[in-house]
Amino acid sequence: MSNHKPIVTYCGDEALFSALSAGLTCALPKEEVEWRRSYGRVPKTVNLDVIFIKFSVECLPKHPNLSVLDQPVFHIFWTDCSDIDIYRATTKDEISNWHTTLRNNGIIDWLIVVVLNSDSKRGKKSNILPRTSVVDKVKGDFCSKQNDRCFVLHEPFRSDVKSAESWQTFLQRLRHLILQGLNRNLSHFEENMRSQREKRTEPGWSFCNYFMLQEELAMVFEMMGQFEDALVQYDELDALFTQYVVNCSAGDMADWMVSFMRPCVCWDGLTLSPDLRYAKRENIQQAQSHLLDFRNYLFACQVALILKLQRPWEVAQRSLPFMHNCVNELCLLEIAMPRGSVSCWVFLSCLEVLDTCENYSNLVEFETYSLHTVSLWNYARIKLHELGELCGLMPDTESTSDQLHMVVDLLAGMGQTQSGNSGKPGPMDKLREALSSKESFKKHYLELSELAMGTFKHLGRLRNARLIGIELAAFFMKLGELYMAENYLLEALKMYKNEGWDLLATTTYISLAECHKKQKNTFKYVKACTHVTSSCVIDGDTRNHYFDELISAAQLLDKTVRIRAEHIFALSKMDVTAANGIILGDEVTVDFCIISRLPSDVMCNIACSLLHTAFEGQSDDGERPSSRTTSRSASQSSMGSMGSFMDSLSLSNSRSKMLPGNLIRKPKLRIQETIDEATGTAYVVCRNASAVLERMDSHPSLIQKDTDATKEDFVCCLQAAAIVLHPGSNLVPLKVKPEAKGNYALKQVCIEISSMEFLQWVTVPKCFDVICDEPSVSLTPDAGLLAGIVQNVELRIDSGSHGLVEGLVIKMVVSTGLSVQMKTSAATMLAETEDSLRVQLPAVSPGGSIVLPLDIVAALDSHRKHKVLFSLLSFLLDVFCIC
Amino acid sequence: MAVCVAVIAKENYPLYIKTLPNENELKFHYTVHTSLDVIEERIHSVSKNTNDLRELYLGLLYPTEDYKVYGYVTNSRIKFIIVIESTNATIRDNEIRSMFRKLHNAYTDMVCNPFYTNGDIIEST
Repeated sequence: MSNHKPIVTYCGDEALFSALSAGLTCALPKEEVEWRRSYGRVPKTVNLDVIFIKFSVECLPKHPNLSVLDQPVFHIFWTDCSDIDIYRATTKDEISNWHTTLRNNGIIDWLIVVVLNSDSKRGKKSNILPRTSVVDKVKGDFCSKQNDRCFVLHEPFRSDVKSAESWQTFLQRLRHLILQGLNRNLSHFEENMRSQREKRTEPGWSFCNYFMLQEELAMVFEMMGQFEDALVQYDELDALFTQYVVNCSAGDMADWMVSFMRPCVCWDGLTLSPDLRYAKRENIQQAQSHLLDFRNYLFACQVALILKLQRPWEVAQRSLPFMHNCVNELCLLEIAMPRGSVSCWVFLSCLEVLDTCENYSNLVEFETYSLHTVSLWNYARIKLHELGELCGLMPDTESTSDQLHMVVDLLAGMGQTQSGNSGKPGPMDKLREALSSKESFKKHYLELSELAMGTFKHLGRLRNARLIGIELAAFFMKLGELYMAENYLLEALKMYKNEGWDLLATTTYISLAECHKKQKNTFKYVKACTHVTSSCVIDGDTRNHYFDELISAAQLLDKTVRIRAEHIFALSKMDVTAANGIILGDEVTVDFCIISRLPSDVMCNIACSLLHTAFEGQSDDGERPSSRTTSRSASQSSMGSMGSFMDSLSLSNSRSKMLPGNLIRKPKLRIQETIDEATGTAYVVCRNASAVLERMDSHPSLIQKDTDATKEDFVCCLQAAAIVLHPGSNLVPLKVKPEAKGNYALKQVCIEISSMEFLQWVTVPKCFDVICDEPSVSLTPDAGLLAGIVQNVELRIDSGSHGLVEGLVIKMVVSTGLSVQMKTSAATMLAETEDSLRVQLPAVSPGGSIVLPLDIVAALDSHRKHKVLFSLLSFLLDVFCIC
Repeated sequence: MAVCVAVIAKENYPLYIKTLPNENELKFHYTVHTSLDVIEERIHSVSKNTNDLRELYLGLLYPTEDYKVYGYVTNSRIKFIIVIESTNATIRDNEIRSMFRKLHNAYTDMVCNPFYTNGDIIEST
């Protein structure tokens, strides 16, 4: 039925016609005819392929405007009469009857063909001057006003130039006239159709009747090879129907819509194979069809045309909106559908479209094509999942008898249309198989999921792929294959954390925690719980639940687990109570402000490791400070004094800004100074600017690399035990008693809760110095003293960091020629000899000093430098000169 | 009436996501997140013809059974996403465009606020 051809009737000399018909039928479609359309439409070229039927009165249309397809569009009368007498006797009447019949039916598309055969001339008397020939008579009788309605065909059975020419002209004329006839019919038909459409608001108008009309027009276009126009007709019908549905849902219900809204008994999917789609047309005509059937049919017609237009990707592209639209319409109109039937329909239709597209897949680029098909695979997968849940086919459920009944009912409602090729399994077979048992359901579901996920990955749509991964993970957890589930969850988690989607990451952690719990992997379970419980995007109940789980699971651990703590505990402030001048032997207190993101109080021990660096000039047992001194050694400087100035500056910088254990290490600046004395210029160049100025990640990485936490050496550390951390900020003092002097930098904080250790690097540099100044002795003034007379000098003793205890003895030994006397009660004279003095000092507080005035007399003859040696018992001495 | 509105930063993390109160927020997070794939595709496909100015309004990104997702990208790669119910057939393209325009204006105002640091999570009453 889809292979319609324009019908042309023949009348008159049948034998003649049969001789010519084969040649005619072949030759006619060989060339194209230009079709000029009405209403200013673009002219198209058409290949005419016609069939011939014998003329009879019955074949004339009764209602010429109501149908185009099965009506003859053109009528030809064939004669090869060459004798005027025969003509007058019989032929004229025949033609006359024929002509009158046509005229009575208002048909003006006809042609009389007079064939001139050579053998017809044989019996003729050769008139020297033939006054009238048959042709002229015919023309005179019937075609008085239209000369082109009679054609003389010269000797079609011969093959000379003249006959060939005549034949060609005949063909052209015939094509032109047939097209004219067709066009005329078509115009009438279109007029009728349009007027019908205008009447659609009148009562009694039926969409189904109108549908038949417009569809016929589409078929005519299809017949003429104008697929685009045909598609347009179907699209218009689609839009019209959709508009009616929308109006219906808004309350303006049309009467004919009721028939579409009956409860559904058959939810077959689409059938796209051409021979089967017309099965439903009858139903539509008689308004017996259901919405789904109608939509199936309409879409199938559209698909057929699109495929003829060689655009298979458009089929896939249109399918998804089509199915969404149908599902929505079913909802809008509140049509009663058994549970699961819509999912079945969607599944079957998806697979049908995909099968059809596969047949054409070699025509198109794979990329654009798979973009559309992947959504179909995904949709089919989702629907299969729904069906699985509905019918109890999920791995962790047993199907009840109700569910088994449901499966039977669902299967009964499908398969009323045969599936196309019996060669490979059609969609119906797949669905039947998938719903038959858990095993086969699992197989089909996994197949679909992997296909969809693989295609998404290939297209670069990784987020969609990860989402499918999460759903697969849930499925695998039900199956009990926890390892697979864990893989998918970890991949998805990595992506969510990288992109900073907290809610999604936390939800994935919850699933991961469940997975680990089932795997009985307490380590990983504890880690996952910490993430969940410290997340601020989920509700408090969940957090509390996971907190309790965390505590109880931690107690089951037999080994300590180390977890990075940045997401749970934040260090906001660290104050060293006395940043400078901490004296060896004192207890240092550092106040930490810790913000706990746990939902409840927790008891813990806190420690902070310290990195000790001894001061310059002493043996280093710690790391060398990363300073600019080393970089300076690479520079060439000719400014010696400048260099030393820079050195000292950088040294002092380095002491207070040591950053050991800093996570972000920048490359050291390599600076080169050049001084050009010839021109008097000096400039500084940085040699590794590109390395230093190298862009870190263009965006701050929102999580730090997820390496396992390694614990630093906690030999030397600040500590606090049995602290209760409340949710929110807590001020915790940590204490230590340093044992060596030097610079101590805070490195890593470890919060220990039962057998879990939460480790966190200190990123803000914080350090303190432990100093231990030694007591020192100085004599002022130490120069410019005159010999021979009593000079007053002062002996100043600084007590250093620890102060001087009571009873410390200072012994002064002078060189010959110098005598010293002390006359103060600040210290107790113990012994006095000529060249030495022993004095006992009182107690001096730390940082204090004691001043002893001394009288010194140097002998006049000694023009030399005198030395005074001091020794404090158990301390080293300073030696200086006195002159 | 939109069911969900989202503002996404250049680095694809959400600056602001808001859904209707009684809706399942998680589902919309997933929907918005996966629609980023489509946005990236569209941005990159246009950037191949570097001379053409890319239009800010991207249109319908992809339909799901229940929702339609529309996207809009500014020149600084900030993305706005609006999710609308499929059954709401009366919404037209123009209305969606005007919704995006208002969003863009609101965002511009917020960036002009001297107390707002680029990249912070947006808080709104």
